[in-house]
Amino acid sequence: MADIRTRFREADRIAAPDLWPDITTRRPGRAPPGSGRPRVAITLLALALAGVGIFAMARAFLGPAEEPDRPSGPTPTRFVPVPKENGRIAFTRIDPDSVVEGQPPKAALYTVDPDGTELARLIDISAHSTSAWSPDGSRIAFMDRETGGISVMQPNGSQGIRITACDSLGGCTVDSGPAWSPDGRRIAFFGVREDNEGIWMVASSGGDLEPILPRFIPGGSPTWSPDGRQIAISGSFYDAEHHVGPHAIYIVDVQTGDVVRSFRPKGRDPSDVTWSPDGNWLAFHLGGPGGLVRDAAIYLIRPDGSDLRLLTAWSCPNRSTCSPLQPAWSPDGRLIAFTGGGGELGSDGFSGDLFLIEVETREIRRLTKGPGLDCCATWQPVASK
Amino acid sequence: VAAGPQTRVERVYRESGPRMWRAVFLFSGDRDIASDAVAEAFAQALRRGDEIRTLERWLWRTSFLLARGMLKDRRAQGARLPEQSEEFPGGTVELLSVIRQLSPMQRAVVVLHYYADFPVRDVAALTGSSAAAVGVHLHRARRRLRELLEVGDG
Repeated sequence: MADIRTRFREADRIAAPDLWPDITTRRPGRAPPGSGRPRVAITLLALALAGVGIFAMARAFLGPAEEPDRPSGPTPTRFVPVPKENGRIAFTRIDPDSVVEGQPPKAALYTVDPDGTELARLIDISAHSTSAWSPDGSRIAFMDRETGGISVMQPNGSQGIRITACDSLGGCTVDSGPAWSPDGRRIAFFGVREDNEGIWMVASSGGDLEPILPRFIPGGSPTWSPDGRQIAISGSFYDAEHHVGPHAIYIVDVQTGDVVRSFRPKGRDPSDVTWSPDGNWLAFHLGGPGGLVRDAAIYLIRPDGSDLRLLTAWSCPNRSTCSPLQPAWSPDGRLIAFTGGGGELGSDGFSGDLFLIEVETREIRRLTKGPGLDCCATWQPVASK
Repeated sequence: VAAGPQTRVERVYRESGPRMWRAVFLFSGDRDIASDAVAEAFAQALRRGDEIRTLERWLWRTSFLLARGMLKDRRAQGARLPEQSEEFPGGTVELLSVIRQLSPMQRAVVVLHYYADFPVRDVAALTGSSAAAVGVHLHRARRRLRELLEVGDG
C-alpha cells in the first residue's frame, strides 16, 4: 500500500476551478453565489482577523504583550546551587517568508548569549527540529534535516556526526527531540521503527537503539532527572489496538522502563516538560481547557505531581491562541527561557520571540526579536570556575 | 521594483491557489465551500494589501477558518456533508470517501499535514489547538486511514 502522504498526492489530480475572476470582482464579505448561507459569522471572523493583524503590527513596535496573569501564592523554594553556569542559548529560528509550495518553512539553528548579544547563525535545520546541548556544553544534538536522524555537532556548527540512521524502509520518518543523559553517554529521542512510535535511547557516539517507551506519542522532548535515573515525558501511550491513553506527564524509570507515576495537571494536556537542574521541579506547557491553546500557560510542578504553580501566562489581546511555549531551564536553575506568543500563525504569519523569566521573581525580559518564530531554546551548561 | 499588492496576491494564487482549493475541498467535501472560502480569503487579501506580511500562510489559515465557519453554518442548519455525485480521477474517489469518514478535526489535521505539508506545530496554530492535541488527532486519523485505505486496496 502506498503511504498516506502519497495517497494524498493523488488529490493533485482533482481539477481546481479558476477563482481569479471571482476574487478580483467579489466584494469581501458578500454572500456566496447561490447559497444564501448566513454570513454574519464570516464577517465577524474577518473583523477578528483584521483585529489580529492590527495588534500584531502594534506588538511589533511595542514589544511583548502584557502578561497579566501573574502567579499567585508563594514562589518556589530557592533552588540548590548546582556546579554549572549559564552559557549560550541555542534555538531554532523559523523564517516566515521562506514558505515554498509544498515544502515546510526554512529554519536555522542560532546561538545567542543570555543578554541577547552575540547572535550567531549555525546551520540550516528542519523546522521540526529541537536541539539539545550536551551536559558538558561541548556539543549540540539535533535532528539532521538531510538524514532525518539525530546528529551531533560542535557549538560553532561544524563537524556534524550522524548518531542515528533514519531509514524510511524501517518505518522511520524522522528522529526528533534529542535529550542527553546527565552523564553525556546516552541520548533519548522520539522516533519510529517498524511502525513502533516511541522514545528510544542511543549511545551518544551512535550504535544500536534501545526502546525506552514503546507505543508512545510525545508532546515534546524527553527530559532527564539530574541523577540520570528517570525520564519525564509528556504525551500518550497507545495500545496494540491503537487506543490512545490519557495525555499526561509520565515519570519513567530508565533502567526498567516502568512508569513510576503519571499525572495530568488540571485535567488538561501538558507538553514540553523539562526537569530543573536541582531535580526539584518540572516546568511544562499546559494547554487550555479542551486542548485549546487559549488559556495555556507555563507551570511548575513537583516531580511527584504535587504543588502545581503557575509560572507565567502570556496574553495577546485579540489573539485567542497566543501562549508561552517550550520552557528551558538555565543550567544554574534561576532562569527559564521560553517562546512568548509563539506557535501562533496569526495574520502576520509566524510570530514569537524568546524571553527569559526569573523563576523566583517572575521578572521577564526579552532575549530575541526576530521576523519569525524563535523557538525550542536549549541552554549550554558551562563548568563553574 | 517591489511588486504591488495585487501582483503579490495574484502570484500566490497562481502558485498555490489550486492546491489551497484542493486542501479546503478535501477538508470540507464541498466544491462550493472550497471555492467560496478560498475566493473570499484572496479577496480579503487583495483589499488589505501590504498589511499582510506572510501572505500565503495567512491565506491558508483564513481559507480554512472560513470553510470551517461555513461547515458550522451548514451543520447548524441540520445538513450533512454532501454526497459525491460527480466523477473524480481514479484513486481520488476512494480518498475522498475515506476522508469523509474522519471527524472534522481529524480531516483538518490530516489534510494540512499530509496534503499541505504543514508540520504539526503549524497545524496546531492553524486549527487553534495544541501540538499535543494535534499529535493525538493525527495518530488516530493515521490509524483510521491505514485501515480504510488498506480495505480499499484489497
